[in-house]
Amino acid sequence: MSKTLGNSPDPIELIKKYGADGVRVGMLLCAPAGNDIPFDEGLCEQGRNFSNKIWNAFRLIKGWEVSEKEQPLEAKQAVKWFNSRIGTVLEEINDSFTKFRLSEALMSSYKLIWDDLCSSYLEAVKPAYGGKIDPRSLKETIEFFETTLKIIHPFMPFLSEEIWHRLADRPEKEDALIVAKWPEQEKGDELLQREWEVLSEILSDVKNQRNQYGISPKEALTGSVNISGRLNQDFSRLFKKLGNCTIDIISDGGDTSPRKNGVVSLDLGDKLQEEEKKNLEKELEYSKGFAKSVEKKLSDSDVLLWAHSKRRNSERKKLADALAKISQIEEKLEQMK
Amino acid sequence: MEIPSKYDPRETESKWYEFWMKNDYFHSEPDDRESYTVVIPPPNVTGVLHMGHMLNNTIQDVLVRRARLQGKNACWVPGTDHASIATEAKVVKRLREKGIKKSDIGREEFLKHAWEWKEEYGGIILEQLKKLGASCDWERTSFTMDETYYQDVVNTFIRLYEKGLIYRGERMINWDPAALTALSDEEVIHKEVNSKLYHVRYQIKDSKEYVTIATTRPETILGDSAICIHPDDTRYTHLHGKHALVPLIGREIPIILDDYVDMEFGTGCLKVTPAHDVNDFDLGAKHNLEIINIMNPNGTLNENSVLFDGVDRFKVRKQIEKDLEESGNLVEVESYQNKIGYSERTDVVIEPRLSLQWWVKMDDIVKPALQSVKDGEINFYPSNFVNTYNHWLNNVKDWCVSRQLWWGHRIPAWFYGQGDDDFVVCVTAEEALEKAKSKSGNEALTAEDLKQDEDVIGYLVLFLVMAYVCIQWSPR
Repeated sequence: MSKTLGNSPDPIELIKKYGADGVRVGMLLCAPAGNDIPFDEGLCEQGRNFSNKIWNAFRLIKGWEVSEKEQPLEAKQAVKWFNSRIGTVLEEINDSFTKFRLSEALMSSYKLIWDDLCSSYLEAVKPAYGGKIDPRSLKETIEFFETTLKIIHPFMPFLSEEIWHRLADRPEKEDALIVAKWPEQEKGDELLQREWEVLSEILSDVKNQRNQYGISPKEALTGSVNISGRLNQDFSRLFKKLGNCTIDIISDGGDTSPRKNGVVSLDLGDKLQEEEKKNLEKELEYSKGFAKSVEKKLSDSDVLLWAHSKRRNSERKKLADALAKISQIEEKLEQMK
Repeated sequence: MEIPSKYDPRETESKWYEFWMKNDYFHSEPDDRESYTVVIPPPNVTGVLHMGHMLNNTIQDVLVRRARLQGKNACWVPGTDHASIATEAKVVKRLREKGIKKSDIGREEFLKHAWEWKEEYGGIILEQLKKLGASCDWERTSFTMDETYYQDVVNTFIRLYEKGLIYRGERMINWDPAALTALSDEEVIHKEVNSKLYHVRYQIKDSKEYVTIATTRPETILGDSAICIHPDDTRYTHLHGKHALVPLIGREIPIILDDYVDMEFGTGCLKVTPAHDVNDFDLGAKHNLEIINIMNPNGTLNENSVLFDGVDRFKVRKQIEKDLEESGNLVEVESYQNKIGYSERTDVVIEPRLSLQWWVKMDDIVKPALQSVKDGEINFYPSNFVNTYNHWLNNVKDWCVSRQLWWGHRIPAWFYGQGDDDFVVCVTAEEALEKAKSKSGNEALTAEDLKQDEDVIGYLVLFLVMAYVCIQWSPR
């Protein structure tokens, strides 16, 4: 992009299209300090999507109804974890600012909001469909949300100020977000965060296998996973809530911070076999079709085409391989019956 | 409160910007809090926002807003730059559309038009910065031609001159031999014309060997100071340290080495004529070559040309072609298309000409700049840019700070005679008269004898004072 080349987009048009906050985020996402900038309008779009993500999170929270009840265990765990997470990320962000690494500061803030707040924390505390939230979780969630608004304000001043005033009535001049106090928080508990990472990894294994075998999220699953070290927290309610699954944690008895070993093994039983059968049948069909096409080619009497015996041989080999594969698959399918 | 299902930036952004402005959050006054001040690199007053502005102003706003959240006294000072060349070109164009020439209306009238233009079009870019969310202290908005700025730039020029950091020296300008005036680059029209390319051979001293150069202006060989070849050009290795003889006049000139020469182009030999070509002037300065000015202001050659004193440059070109032919120095003449600069006003061919200009001595001025970085008083992020900075400052040449323009801070130099040294440097005409009297010893001088320099001061001086002017600290 160059002024001289005239291939630079009009900033005011970009602002109209993606919002000023979206463009600000887009500019900084592509600009690690001191390097040339490969500008991509897609990054402004990413900025706008980020605005929408925050807006939707806000709408989610505002939509919750409260009922007087105890805070459930999984919410307690999530609150403790996210609080610790803010401490850790805030330290990263402050460090980046000190070094004028604004892209990194933005990236840390972005991940804190998108991954930790939206994808993990809010999922963990949100009431079941049609249910209500306990007052304590709501209060703590709003406080967290306000903290993240302060953190994102330098990058997205408009959106953050808008939500800030929608979250609460703030009539005084000094109540505005622009002059709020930058959060201060101690560095987070590493072990706690490590445990939560193991939780996320397990849930992502489960999700992957659901996708792979076409199992609906509504279908409850059971399974187990090997862990080296120790998982202090009982995450069974979160497994249920976030993954609709029950997972046995098999620890190696070590005393270190926990690490997941291998992939979660799910009791898929018939589902697995059905899925495999389906795949084999698909493969069989393909191989048969392929063999047919090679046979047709070989029966062609066009002399020119077969002038090279080498080529003819290679086609013959292809056919032999395909036929071998077909009998293999048929054998397997026979065994499955 | 109803929550819209989609976030609408258009509505929200103008609403909150007004709210911030109305409540004065951007304004800063000094107090006990730690201060965090940023001076905007002022965009051109003629400018509209481009992506470069977007990035650097986003960065500034992010830093300022975070500092504000941290409880610091954050102040971001905005402003615009008068943009000498860009603005003047736009005003000249506008006047031309009305059939008015800059030279017809004179300096004062022209400046009126320039101010009008600025009032009408200037400041668009600041409004655009507001759209971005820039939290500048708009009450402190300044313009580099504001009265305080103007005075401070002029005073800084004087101070630098008095300290010996500004001096007068020669440099190439566009000269109109008919109007007898310097022209800015904007007043030169480049036309594609059919020329001739003359291949001329120079004998190597004490040898039967020749080297051949090509030129479209054969009359200038009389002002040659050297032949330049590439140090790696193996065809000429044996000529290193030798001398060549200028055809017709037999003057000895050195053969110099410089990788500026393109080995692939022509014979790989270049004639160097510092007084009559911009590039040759720089090359000459680098190699400390003699500057031989062979031309009078009116386009005739002078006695330095040896052969053609008083003859017009184009007549000489025809004559010298014959002379070179006869002496056996003309190898070939080919037709050649090139671009030649013509005066917009008189339509005669421009001559690059040496002229006295004002210069800042960079050697001394960069010392504290280098030192404070070395001492860690100023830091670079990322730190590896220190190398670029040091390399640049260690190699910077003296900086020309006069511009042949009217829109800008006028050079506070007053001439009272024809001599190169017949001038004084000060703010007012009254002061100048007193100083001129004492410098010249001529008590009979009057205000009419004084003529202020027509040129304006280049940006370098402005940048020296910008940070101070913004916080209202006067270098006086």
